Amino acid sequence: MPLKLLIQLGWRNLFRHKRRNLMLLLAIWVAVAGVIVMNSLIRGFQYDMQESAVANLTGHVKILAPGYLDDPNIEKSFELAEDWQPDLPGVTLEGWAPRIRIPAVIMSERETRGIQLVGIDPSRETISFLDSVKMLGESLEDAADRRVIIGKELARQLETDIGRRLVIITQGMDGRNREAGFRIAGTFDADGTGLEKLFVFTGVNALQNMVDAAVITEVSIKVSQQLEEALAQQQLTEAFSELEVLSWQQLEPQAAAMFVYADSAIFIWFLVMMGALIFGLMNTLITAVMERVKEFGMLRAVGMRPRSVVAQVVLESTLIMFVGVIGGVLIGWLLVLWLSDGGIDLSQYAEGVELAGMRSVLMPRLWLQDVVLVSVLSLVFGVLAALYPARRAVQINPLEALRR
Amino acid sequence: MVELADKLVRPAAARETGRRGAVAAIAWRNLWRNRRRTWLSAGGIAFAVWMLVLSLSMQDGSFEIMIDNGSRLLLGHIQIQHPEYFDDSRLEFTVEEASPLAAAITASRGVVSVAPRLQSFALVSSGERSFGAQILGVDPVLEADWSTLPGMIGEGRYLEAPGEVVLGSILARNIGVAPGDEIVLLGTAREGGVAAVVAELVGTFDSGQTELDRSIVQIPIADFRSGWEMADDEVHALLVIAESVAMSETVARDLGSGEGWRALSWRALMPEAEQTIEMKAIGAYVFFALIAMIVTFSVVNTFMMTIFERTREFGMLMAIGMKPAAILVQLQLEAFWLSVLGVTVGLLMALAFIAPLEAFGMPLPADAGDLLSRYNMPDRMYPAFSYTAAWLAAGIMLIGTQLASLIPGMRIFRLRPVAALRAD
Repeated sequence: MPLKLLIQLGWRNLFRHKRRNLMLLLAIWVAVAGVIVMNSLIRGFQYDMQESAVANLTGHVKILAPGYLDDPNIEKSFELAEDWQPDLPGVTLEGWAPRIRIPAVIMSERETRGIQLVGIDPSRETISFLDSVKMLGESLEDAADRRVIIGKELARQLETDIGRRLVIITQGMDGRNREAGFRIAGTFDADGTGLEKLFVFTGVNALQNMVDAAVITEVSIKVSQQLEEALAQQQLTEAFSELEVLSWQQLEPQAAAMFVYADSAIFIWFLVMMGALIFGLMNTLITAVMERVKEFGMLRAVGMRPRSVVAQVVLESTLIMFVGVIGGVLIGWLLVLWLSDGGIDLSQYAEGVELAGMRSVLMPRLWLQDVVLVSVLSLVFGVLAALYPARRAVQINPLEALRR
Repeated sequence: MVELADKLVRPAAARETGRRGAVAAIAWRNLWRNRRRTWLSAGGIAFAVWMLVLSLSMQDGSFEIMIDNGSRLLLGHIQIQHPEYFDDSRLEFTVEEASPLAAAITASRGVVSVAPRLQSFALVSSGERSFGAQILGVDPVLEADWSTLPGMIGEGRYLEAPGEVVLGSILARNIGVAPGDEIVLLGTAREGGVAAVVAELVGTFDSGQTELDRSIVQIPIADFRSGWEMADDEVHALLVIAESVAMSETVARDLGSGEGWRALSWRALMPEAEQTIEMKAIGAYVFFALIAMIVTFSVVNTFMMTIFERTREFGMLMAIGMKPAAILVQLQLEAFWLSVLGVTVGLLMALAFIAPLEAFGMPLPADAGDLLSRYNMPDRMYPAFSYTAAWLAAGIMLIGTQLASLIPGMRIFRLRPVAALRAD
């Protein structure tokens, strides 16, 4: 039997029971649209997690002195030529930033806290979270700025405010403690309080003066294309053979692990949704076969091959799945668009959101390859669900069926 | 069929005696007129119930473990604090006369142990190196009893006597000290003077949580008291360990607050855990709502087919005097039996899955180690069958199925007996 005729027959059969097939379509739409929306939320979560892992002063790739990770102090540092530029052929850079990052003790008139003191070149920090946080007061002007910016929560704990002075104690290059006063230029307000309690920023040159050495402890590099990450790491490893060049996955293993788990979560969602769907699909297909016993018997009697019978049942299932997938993807896509308008506000869960490395507004992200994958797999499910009903159709004995 | 019709149209008095049981029995039998269809519909319901109970049981189990492990590390299930201490951890916001209060709490229902805690921030130094850290004054004996931290000592041993100190392994590495070395703690005392404690490092702990290993120092509470010039019986917190996480909420509520103190449960102490749980719970409900919808649509479909196929039968029943409402009741009963069947199978399947895991534990992937320690998870999980989930799943599927048969069932009211009898 020519395929075209089979498709025509299958298509017409769909309209023999409009209301029944509409119910089935509704179920498929819910399943497919649900998978699409959930998929986009998980992708959004994954994206945020990676972005914040990278933005938390990590970068895609980071250059560090050997031993710094185990024992972060100013002795584990290196010198960087004044006119150094990353020279990475084939890599599009989003930006790079040299920093000093060392543990320090900060004291206000009332309180004392342990923090990470970070010397930055403010013009280069477009690649870190500093670029997107809300700032109160002033930012740092340049790398020589001798003031500090601190987190809002730290300011609260220290019972201090913008314009007041703080004393910072940290270890100098010679191993002795240095103590210096800093004026607060401004405070930053991040999503959770974790970053606000951890980081205190000042100009990198000011910090170099304090520790008595023209060195830095790290260079963060952010690429614009994720795919070029590995290439950048490889080229930097060659260029800085005596230093350590690490990727964000190596620096933030928890975020990297979470990233991988999110991938499997997408598949579990799909399997469960399709699992719930397959019962209804099979039920409808079997009924469609059983109420047409006579018809199938006749078709067989006039010479239709068993193969064509199987093809017809499978085709009907695929057709309904096809219509279902198109509608489901469309509904899912519209829902994602609707959710994308402003995103999902999670700010009431700020601390939990920060623990998971997310942002306070979750933006769904729909990838074309995910949509294609979901569609193709759904069609495969449609074929699988049709196998048993098709077998039943083949078992119909033409003579008995016609005598009914 | 005549017999059935006879039963349903007998006079009211006779009807009262056996009718209800008979209709229910007929509905049950009707289910088995198309075995395959019934099993497939029930299978869908069972699948939904199974998924919900399984996933919520795992989640509940992991939440409970996450909170319990988090609590038992440093915080306790409940803390008794000065009413202002939580928002503003000043040295002077203490709970006074702690011992009688501790004794009273220990005696109350559901409480396993109570331990005192003094804490402040200080500079920790050895030689030229100094780091800032949180100093916890603890009772070494009680601490070893309730906290898991003393069991996480990597090098050396836990606190035993005055003049000793233990700290996190990362902090020890950063300062460059090993057990046996002398350490100086420098802070601001109660009255504004300098608090200085010199102690011998006896051990370092490895909690696996970078944050703690880099910032926590423990000394005996008596040393803290003399160093920071605290009064004899004042503490910053009494840490309460309850029989279970679930129990701790009741205990916290019963304790409430008193003269100069209030009880804070883990929900307040670990807001990030609470929020993570809430977010995941919302995710789980969305997940289940979608599955329930898919299954309900499938069941609507089933009943549509059923009603379509039985149009003639209904026509005949109506022709001999049965009311459409009575036919609908019978259909709803069929739907009820269907959901009972599906829910039972689903619950049994869930039980079959969870019972062995409950007994032997479920190993979690080895490479998840870092991630698990961040959420205070062990490497093996013991899920517990969630009765809440079981009730919820059963309830939703029962209602969903009733709706599913009601929607196509309303068609019965539009049937005209003569036309229906002629239907093919």
